[in-house]
Amino acid sequence: MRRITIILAAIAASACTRNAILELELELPEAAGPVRFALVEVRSGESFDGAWSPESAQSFALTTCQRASPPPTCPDRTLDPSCSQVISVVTGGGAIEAPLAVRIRFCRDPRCAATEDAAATERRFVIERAFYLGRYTQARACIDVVPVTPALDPIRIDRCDVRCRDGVAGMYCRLDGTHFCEE
Amino acid sequence: MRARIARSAFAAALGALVLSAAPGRAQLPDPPERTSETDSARARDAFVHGMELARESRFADALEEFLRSYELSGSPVALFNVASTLRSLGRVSEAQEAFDRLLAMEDLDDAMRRAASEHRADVAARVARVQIEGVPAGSARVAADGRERGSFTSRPIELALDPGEHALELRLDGHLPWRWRGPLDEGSQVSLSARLAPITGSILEEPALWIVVVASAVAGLVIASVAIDQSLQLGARTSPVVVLP
Repeated sequence: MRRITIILAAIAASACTRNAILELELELPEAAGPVRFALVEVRSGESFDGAWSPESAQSFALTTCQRASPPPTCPDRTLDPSCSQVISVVTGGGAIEAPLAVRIRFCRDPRCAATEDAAATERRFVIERAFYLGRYTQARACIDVVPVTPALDPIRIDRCDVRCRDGVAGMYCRLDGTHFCEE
Repeated sequence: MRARIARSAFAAALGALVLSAAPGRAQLPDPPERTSETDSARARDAFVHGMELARESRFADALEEFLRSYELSGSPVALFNVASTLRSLGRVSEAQEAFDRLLAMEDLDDAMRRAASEHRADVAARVARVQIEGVPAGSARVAADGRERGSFTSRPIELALDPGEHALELRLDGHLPWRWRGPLDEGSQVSLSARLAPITGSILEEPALWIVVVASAVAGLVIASVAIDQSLQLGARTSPVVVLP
């Protein structure tokens, strides 16, 4: 009987598990010659070393894009739907509070499988904190042109630049430093 | 003198109307082994009172007096009047029993024996006889109209009942009670088939039942938790969707 109680309690407790979703907005550049695809990869943590899981990769075709010249800063611009994408990154595990590494590779092949793609350029981002349990968050990354040289230092997106659904101001932390997504 | 009293009672009983609503079945008392003078006097008083009541057609009350008289004295005349009053009340099965006891007495005078024999034949013809068949072996306890009729080991079980509506109940160890209710006509012979369902162990004692109950409860909780879990999970509002490992 005690075992049954423990099992039932565990089952009941498991029902409380929730997840978190980051809606990652990406403004991508126009295609540059044979480079016509962007492969977006995400994983938990700040490291860009080692192999990336192909399961957490999404490929997008690069298209023409209407931009003001010079374009506004990324947080302030209105994204052109023809060249912007939104990826929902879902997590429910223990990496809720960990940073999120985002790598965007520009390739000739959709999966960066062409021979020339071995030397594909890429942009890197690290989102300081992307997820809050049971909340939708939004972060934005803008790449105006296909880079011609590798830029291996990641661009850091501060946790207060990650928008929570409740956030309406220019930054998404309260004066005491807590995030709008935090209770 | 005894014969005269008996004849008077007999005459009174003959003139009585048959009552339809009979009271509870009378238990014939055992006669005393010895009778004191005091008991003889009380028996005589009860008998005389009973006769007065019978003349007033108060047969139920008269029966009580005759029974008391018989219990105190063991007198065949008192027993004759008990039987005759029962007959007048329409309680023919009990009347038959009383007449049988009377006829078993060795010192019965001829006139009373003849009268008793005639009336015994009359009530016997009016008794409804019930045979209960199909009862498994064992000591079966039978009640008629809520009163125990004894334990029966022989088969089929035979009962002698008064005509009229009756409710029977039969109990046998290891079986659910069998019940019957219905009318019995005067002098009828009815055969009833008793189907006694054996008592099996309570279903609550079945381990398989509890296994099913517990398994169902666990399955229900799992389904419920999955449903609740799903309802608590955020759903992606845009696509594509990447799920972090």
